[in-house]
Amino acid sequence: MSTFVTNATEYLPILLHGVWLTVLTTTLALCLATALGLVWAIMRTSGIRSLSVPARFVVEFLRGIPLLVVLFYIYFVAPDIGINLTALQAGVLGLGLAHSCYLGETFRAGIEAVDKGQIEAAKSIGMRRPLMMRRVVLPQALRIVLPPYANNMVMLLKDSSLVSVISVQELTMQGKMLASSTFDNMTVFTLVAALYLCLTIPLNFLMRRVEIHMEQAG
Amino acid sequence: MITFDDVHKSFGCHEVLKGIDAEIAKGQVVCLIGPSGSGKSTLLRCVNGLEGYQRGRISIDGFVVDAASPHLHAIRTRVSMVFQRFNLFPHRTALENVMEGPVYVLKEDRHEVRERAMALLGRVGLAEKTNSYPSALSGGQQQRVAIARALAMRPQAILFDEPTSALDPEMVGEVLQVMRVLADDDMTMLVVTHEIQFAREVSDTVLFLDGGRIVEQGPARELLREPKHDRTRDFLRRVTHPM
Repeated sequence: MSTFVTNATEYLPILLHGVWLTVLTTTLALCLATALGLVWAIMRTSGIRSLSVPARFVVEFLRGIPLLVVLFYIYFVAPDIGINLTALQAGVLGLGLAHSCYLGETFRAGIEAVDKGQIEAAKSIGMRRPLMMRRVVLPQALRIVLPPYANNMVMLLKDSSLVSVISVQELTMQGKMLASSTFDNMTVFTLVAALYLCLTIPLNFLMRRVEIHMEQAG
Repeated sequence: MITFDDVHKSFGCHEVLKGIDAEIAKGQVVCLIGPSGSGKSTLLRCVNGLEGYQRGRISIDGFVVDAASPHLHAIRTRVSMVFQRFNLFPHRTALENVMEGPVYVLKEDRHEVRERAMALLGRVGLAEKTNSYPSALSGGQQQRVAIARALAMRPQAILFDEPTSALDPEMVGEVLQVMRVLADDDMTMLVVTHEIQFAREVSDTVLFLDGGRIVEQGPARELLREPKHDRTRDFLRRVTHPM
């Protein structure tokens, strides 16, 4: 046990560097996925075929490819067509794109779940679609979507471990390197797992607080 | 002010409006009555373009109501609507619900709108509830907020789609009272209702619809006391003496 503690204190600073990159990758990818997901959802619920069909196509297309393959494709194939991305950029892009599909479907469900009477009320006071989305539909969809969104966030954080395959030195990658240089698999991967839990559990807790807060606001 | 000219509407192959002709003058209160499925709510919803229609013409002050028209939004700012299920915005307080249209659609000055909204909520008897969310209000209170929201747009006419049908019986009176005051203030009102008593006391004209047609129309007292048509008589007997 005491060796575990001594070794752990030695490994922790190295792993914390990985935690930082995991947080960075997750945050950036989440921003990208949220923005794109919103775009897909708004396109799909627009009722305009020239918008909804392409959005649907993109979502179905990306959803059908494993995240690992998406990452390989962006990192290894993109340079062939003249796009050079750093590992981090490629990782964020791949994660963001892949998760934008899940979020897009989540947002779409939320938008469609808003009571039709709300849309009629908004129309009846002369609102045009963009204003109606901003002031009436999206704020209500947000509440509906929050629990599944939180779930998606945690999944994205866990999926960020996959960007290790394109050499982003996030937590999983740091763990793997540390384990192979120390052969102390037990300590290293226990720490890695514990560090992931340190990220995901507070995240769940935080989102639950936000949900409760929003419910109280009416 | 509102003119219906041979209006036809179908849902698929089912024709719900089969040629409606009517004229509503400024300041008039017109009640639409008739059995369910007669097309009265559909007709009302055509007036502000929540439903489209296939043939004929509805015009408001000379502007044709047409789902494809760029004027539709402008028309909606001038003809407000009150719904059966209130449809207040649940994420906004009573005051914010009333202010929403003038501030965000008409782009009026927020402070001025706020004053007006407070006054309107006072007028419908809800001065104490300005900061309540709809979920904390009774059905009757919500419907009165909805009326204040409609009035805040300073409309030339208000459409009421069965405004008391979703209310508990003891709350019907407070909503009808607010509507009665509006009628006295010469607001142009088109009301789909089952409240025959209200129609008799408040409305100038009653239209009786059945099967997508206006079976009978005329001054409220006359039509409701001495209906000329068998179907009107039959309907009135059933709603006033349900047993």
